[in-house]
Amino acid sequence: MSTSSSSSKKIVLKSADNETFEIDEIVALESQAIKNMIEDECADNVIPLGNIDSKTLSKIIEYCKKHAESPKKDDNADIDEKAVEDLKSFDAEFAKVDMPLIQDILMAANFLNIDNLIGLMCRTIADRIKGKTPEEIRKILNINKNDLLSPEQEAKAREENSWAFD
Amino acid sequence: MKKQKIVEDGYGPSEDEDDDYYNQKVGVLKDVTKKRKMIKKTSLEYKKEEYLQDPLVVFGWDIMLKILNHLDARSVALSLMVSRGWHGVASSDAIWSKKCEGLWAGKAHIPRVSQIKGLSKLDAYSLSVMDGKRSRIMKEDLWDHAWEFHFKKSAPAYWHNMDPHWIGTGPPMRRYFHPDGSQTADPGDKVWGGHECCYSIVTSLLADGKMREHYVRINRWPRMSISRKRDWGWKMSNHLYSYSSVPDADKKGGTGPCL
Repeated sequence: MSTSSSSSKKIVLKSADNETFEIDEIVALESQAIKNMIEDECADNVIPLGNIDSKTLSKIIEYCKKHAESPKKDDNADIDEKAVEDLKSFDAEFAKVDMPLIQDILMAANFLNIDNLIGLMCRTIADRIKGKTPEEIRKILNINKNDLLSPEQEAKAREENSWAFD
Repeated sequence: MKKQKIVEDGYGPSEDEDDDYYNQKVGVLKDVTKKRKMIKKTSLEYKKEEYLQDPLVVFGWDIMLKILNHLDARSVALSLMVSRGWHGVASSDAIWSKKCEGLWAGKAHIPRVSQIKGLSKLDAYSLSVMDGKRSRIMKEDLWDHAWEFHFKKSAPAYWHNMDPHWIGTGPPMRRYFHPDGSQTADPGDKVWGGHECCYSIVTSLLADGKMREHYVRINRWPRMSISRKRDWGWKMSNHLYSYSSVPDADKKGGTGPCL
């Protein structure tokens, strides 16, 4: 690891598979958990993330970089619409990954407490099950078949919410 | 050999022996050494088996709520049937309070059935949607709302000349239906003229419950057919005149029939 010559402070994150990522502190601060660690001065030079693999971590960093660079809503009442659109299309592209990676990212975002990313991943999962039948959702998300509703419970739910099944 | 039941996620599987989930779990727990090798050798395959799971089990209630909150009402209703665990989250007031607010926003009337105390927000939503589709008008609908009244173009000029709707001399005329079977108007209403009025709702049903005939009639005047607007408002009209229910969504406890 070479010492950075850049003026901004650097943070090093280490993934579960021992890969290190050097990033600007401002990028790391997108994570509320890391922010708290830094503020409480309990962050060493290297922050080990023992439950996040390098593939997931590099995605997380990609996201945080983009969002750290973009102007924040509360900075300025009228940030230009182009920046908002740009961030939107970045998020849309970012979410084009398969379900296991979505779950890994969500797991990591939850752990690192990156609110926007948690929201994005939840919306992505929602998009994948929108308009799907219960059976299709069970398949997509590998739902435990021992937790199914009884035929009576299912009939009741169907009857009480018949408007959804027309 | 009877397999041991594993309940580690709060959604314990039953003792169904040939269940994928069960075997997957047992397989992973039993053979830790094999699993470790698997991680190294084929980490992708391993992940697909182990990670691609129910978000409710993996992430818990709060994240599951966030996911479902991104869905439209119909999709949430469908997700009720995914599993018992999902039914718990997908039927919670935390989701349906907002859905109800969205549904009721901009509506002319809020059905009384949805305002009953102690009702879950999911039930309130469902009852509202179904009441909004009701095409059969009930006496409570007539009583609860004030009604705007005006003559149609095809009515004689005699009536047009007294109707603010046509001569633009003030707010539209109103009519009120009372539980004693009478109908009244506001004071100073020129068309009204102080005569006695009574009304009746006529509904004839076929054996399968469909309506053969459904109309409201005032005195012996031409029958009015009933229709419903997108905002759940009512319209009653014949070739001479037209009644529309006045929006009253702010009325406490809702309006319309009780059940």
